[in-house]
Amino acid sequence: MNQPRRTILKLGLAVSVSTGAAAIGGVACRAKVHPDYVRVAQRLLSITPFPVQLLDLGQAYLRAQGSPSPAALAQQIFPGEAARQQALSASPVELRQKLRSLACQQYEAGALANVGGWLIANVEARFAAIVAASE
Amino acid sequence: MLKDASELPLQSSEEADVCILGGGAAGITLARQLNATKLRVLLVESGSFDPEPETQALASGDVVGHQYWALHTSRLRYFGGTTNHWTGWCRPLDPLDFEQRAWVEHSGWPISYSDLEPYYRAAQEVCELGPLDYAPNTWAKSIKQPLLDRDLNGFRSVTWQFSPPTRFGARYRKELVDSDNVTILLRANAVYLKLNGTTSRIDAVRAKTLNNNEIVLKARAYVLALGGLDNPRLLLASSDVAHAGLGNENDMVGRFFSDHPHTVLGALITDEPKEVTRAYGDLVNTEDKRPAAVRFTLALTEEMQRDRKLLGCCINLEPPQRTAFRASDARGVKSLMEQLDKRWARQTFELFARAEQAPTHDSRVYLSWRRDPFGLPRVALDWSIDEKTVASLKGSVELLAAAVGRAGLGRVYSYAHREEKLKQAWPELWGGHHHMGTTRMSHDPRHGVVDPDCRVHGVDNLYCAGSSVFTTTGYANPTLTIVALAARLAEHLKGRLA
Repeated sequence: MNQPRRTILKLGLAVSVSTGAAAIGGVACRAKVHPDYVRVAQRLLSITPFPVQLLDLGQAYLRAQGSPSPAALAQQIFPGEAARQQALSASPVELRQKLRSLACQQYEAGALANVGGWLIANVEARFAAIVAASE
Repeated sequence: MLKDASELPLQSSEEADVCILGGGAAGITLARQLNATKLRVLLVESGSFDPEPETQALASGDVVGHQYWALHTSRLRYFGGTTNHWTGWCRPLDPLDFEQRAWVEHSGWPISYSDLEPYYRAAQEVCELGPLDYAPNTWAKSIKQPLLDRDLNGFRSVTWQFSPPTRFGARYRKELVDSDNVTILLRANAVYLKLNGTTSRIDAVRAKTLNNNEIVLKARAYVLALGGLDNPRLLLASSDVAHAGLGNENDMVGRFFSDHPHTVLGALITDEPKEVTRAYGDLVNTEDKRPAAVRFTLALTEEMQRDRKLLGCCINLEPPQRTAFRASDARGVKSLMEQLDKRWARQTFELFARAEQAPTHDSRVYLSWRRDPFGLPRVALDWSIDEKTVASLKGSVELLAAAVGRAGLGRVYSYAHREEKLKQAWPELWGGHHHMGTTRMSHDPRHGVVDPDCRVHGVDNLYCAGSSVFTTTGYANPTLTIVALAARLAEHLKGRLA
């Protein structure tokens, strides 16, 4: 893999993302961020006490992805109207469970992010990045 | 019976039905299997019963390819051979390892696992193991240790049985010395195989001693059991009639040298407690000492190898010690596990891989320009590891990361995926002193050196034993398969020479 800082793994198939755009499930895209995602990002921060240990991981991901905003990251986690509404109405416990469920799906599909050598689900990398970007 | 070549009369000769060159795992097994038969057997050993520096120095050679151990430290030249310092890891090759796999060029043994299975049973006895049962559940019950109870998609737990380890020289010496039909000939170094160009048979072997004696060994059949470096060496050096060397009409002798690439793939943090992983992180002794101990590792499933076109790979979970991985490196992912999974990381392991090497034509043993005190060219080793092998290791760690994340077992750090500047050092691959493939088995002389009976193509009474005949290597340590193949060869020789 030649550009590990802009990389999504797809079970052995390394996809380099050279545009600097955010990457979702192995596909790079630039999307206009809906204003409600600011609140979604804030809600994500509320699911747990501020996890300072996530900062390094989140900052590494932010650097690799061209420092997207917390709202943009939240949109990548919950793309689309329905998912956004669900995220806005979910309790913190439900949100955490939703993140875990999304992570499982991504592990299942091999849609992993490489964050400084850690091979983790994209959703986990983005969650850490929201924490770091909101510091 | 026992003789010392250095004390025999000058220019004397020894005769037998079967002359076995090399007193290691293969040679000793072969001699034992032929013990108490009507065949006269000569087991020829370069060294003595104890190590002698001058003899061991004969094993030195040149390393010209990928980094490798100094060759004089990579095998032992005294009775018992390299079993004098092996660690006892035992496991048969998997049935898939014998198959022709479309995604592994040059794969496909001319024999199958089922052909070898009866001899694996015999090998279990020789190596002082338990029954030929490698089902993890069997051993988990036996050693009262749990297996990882997670669905690691693409990986499975595999069992290793541990030999005490059996030191073949010490363990089986008396049996052979007391034998009526086996003679151990110590301190005799085979330097030349004399081919009769008319009959395509070996007429004699010339052997020398370090005190300048020279003897002639005559037999009806000859077996090279000198190891994966010296079997091709002696074939290549015996070149007065066959100018390219014996069995080398197709330039195959010494080609396809393989070892099991070993490397630390990265690290695993897991919420599993030590009580669950104990048999993965270390040996667990058995009560009845058969086998001496058991250990579990993770290995790619056959289905995943087929699906992703990967080579065999097994991964030990080792306490961190080989690399500079620090617990603080895992703070972020530990926190992720806590925040999202509500699981707490309890242990960190290094992911220590032992992998199959893709058969590589240019990976080879050849003759050095340097010579030993007998005038025999030394070995030159050019170990070449191709990109497929490296890519397969990388693919394996990606699959493991996905599997452990999905199962909630933990998270994986990969050296192959870290930042570019750090990645330079990866993969740091080293060999396991497993010298394989240099006289590989094949139906067709164009693709190998020995036939399915381990007979050198084109030479009627010359055989190879040991890991040099492996067509492909799997990930399992080779000793058990070496012993099984030697037992199988003994059956063949009994039938042929009876």
